[in-house]
Amino acid sequence: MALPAWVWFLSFFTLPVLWIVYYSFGYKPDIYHPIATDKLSLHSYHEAFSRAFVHVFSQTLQISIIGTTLCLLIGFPFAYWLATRVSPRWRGVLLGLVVVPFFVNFLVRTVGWLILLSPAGPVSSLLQRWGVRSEPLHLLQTRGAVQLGVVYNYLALMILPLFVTLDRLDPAMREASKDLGANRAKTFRQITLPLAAPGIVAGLLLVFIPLTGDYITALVLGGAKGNMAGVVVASQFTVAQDWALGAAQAVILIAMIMGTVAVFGLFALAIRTIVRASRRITLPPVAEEAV
Amino acid sequence: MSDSDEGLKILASVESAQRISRRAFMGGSVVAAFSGSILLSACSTSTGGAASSGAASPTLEDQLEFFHWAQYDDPKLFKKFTNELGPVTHIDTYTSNENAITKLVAAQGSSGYDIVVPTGPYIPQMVANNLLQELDLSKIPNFQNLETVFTNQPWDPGNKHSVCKDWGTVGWIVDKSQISTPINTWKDFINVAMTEASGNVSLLDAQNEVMGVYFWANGIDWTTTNPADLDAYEAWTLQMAPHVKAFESYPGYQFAQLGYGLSHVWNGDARQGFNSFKDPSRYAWGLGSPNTELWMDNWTIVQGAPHPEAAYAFINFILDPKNSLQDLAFHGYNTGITGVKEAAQAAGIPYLDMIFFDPAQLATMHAQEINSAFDREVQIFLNMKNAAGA
Repeated sequence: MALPAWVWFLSFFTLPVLWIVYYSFGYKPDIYHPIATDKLSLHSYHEAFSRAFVHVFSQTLQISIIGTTLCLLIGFPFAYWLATRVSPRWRGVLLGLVVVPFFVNFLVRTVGWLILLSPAGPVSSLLQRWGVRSEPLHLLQTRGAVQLGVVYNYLALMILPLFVTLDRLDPAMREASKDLGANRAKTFRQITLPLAAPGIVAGLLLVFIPLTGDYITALVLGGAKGNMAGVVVASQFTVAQDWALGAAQAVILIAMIMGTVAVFGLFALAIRTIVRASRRITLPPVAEEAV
Repeated sequence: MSDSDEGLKILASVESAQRISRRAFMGGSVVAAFSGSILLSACSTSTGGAASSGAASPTLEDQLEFFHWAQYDDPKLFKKFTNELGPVTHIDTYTSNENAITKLVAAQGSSGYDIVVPTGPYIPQMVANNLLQELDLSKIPNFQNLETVFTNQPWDPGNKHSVCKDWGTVGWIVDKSQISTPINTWKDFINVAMTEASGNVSLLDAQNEVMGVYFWANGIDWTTTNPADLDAYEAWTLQMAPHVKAFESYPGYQFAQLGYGLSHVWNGDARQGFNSFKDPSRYAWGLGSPNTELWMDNWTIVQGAPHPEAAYAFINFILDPKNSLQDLAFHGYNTGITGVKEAAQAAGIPYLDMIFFDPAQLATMHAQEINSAFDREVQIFLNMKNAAGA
């Protein structure tokens, strides 16, 4: 096991991805052969962009951006509360509760929502009993159900890195900020948030990337309306057996994920540069290092 | 988690086992593991008084490997087969004919499977690709139990490579409390799906059958390869797509739970739905009209099968009238055995009108064929699914 990490990375990540890229230039020769590569062309990409799944791709992007944002909005306050307000004795228990669903198979967790959300299910009947709704809940097989499902399925991936960074944050920092006259909002904005930034970035990436490629949640909860790109790619491989088109779609999906990450990354970088430039104050080097 | 509880009940009684879908929605290893556990836990109830096999031979291998649809036979029958004849059975599952064929092609005769169960129209190409063995019907004496209507099919004249497992058709279930317009034909089905039931319709997650809806409604032969017909079909899929709530292969037992108004459904699955409904009178089953599908799944022996004698013995075993009836009670499809209808009536099996059809109905049912239009049809269907989310 003395192999360097790059061998592992090369053989189980880089080569398979390159293989997919190679297949995406191939074609499907007949019904019983999913791929041929004796003639290479951009045909599959042309096919991919000429069809209705361009729409599915934009819907996927919306679901994953909204989903990732919701995970952050829910995950950050929770992680902050867990790291700063909860006594260390309970912290482990609560963190354990966050992780416990991960011991259950992803598919099974998602199928659980199928039962909870069905028109004849417990959520629907409670809402009706409390008079919130006059008729059964028809949330299943909609985009809303998929949105809910992905937030549920990926929330823990946001909470864990956030918790780790916030937990490491020395309380003395916030106290110092207060002593120096900053109010709570200012302390949060100028101390906590910048220091938690690495955790936020890690959480965003950990949630956004797998969420965009997810297909189980959409398959189980989405019906015809809550379709996602992962389902489209999978059905080219398993139903149509057209590996060239499936590979082209997979490559587009990968490019879309990388593109989105790059755009948001540049955006964040630009904001940081602007903020730093506008806030620049001349302090002795020691104080600069403390921040 | 009530769903998995029901899954466990299925192991216990035939009554609830009827609620399992023919080709359960979850594919791959999940189902394979599940069927494995059924085999393990199926109690050794009946060893069967009457010796049902005429083909028991001393050269029988001790194993039998299936490549099969999920949940498609009574698990007790596999146990009974092992008890009576010896070979231990094992099942791997697939979710579509294309999927199964691709794997067999890739294995080049070394798949290790003995029996595979393709749908009729796929057989000629499988034979052409040398995936199936030629059958020696003398090793299947119970072949004579099949009604002649279900032998000698166009895709396999003389049953050289296949023997009927069971057959079925396609139609719809409607919730009469939601939908007041009567539905008698595929044209009505489309009209209601686009109006009264809009947004609350499920179509089968199967391109052949969805294509059938359009062609049958418009009086076009559904084996057409005419590009103009396919263009018209493609245009229709885009009109239809926004009205569809889900593409669902087994809407039957979930029909009431999910509150569909109208579902496109296979007859056996519709029957499982009716078995599960609290108030069956609220729902109606309709057989597709003026024309509809006849599909037939078939026992075949894989080229290079390591246990061919055991495979013959199993096919002969399952064609025994008593075993066949037991299987029919499980999956709800006509097994084509002479006298199975009378036996089912005598056994008091419910909703036989969804299993057995009279000659007039049978005359309206047509088999699909796999032709040059196939790949395009698949892409039209997948594109329809993508458009449905718009």
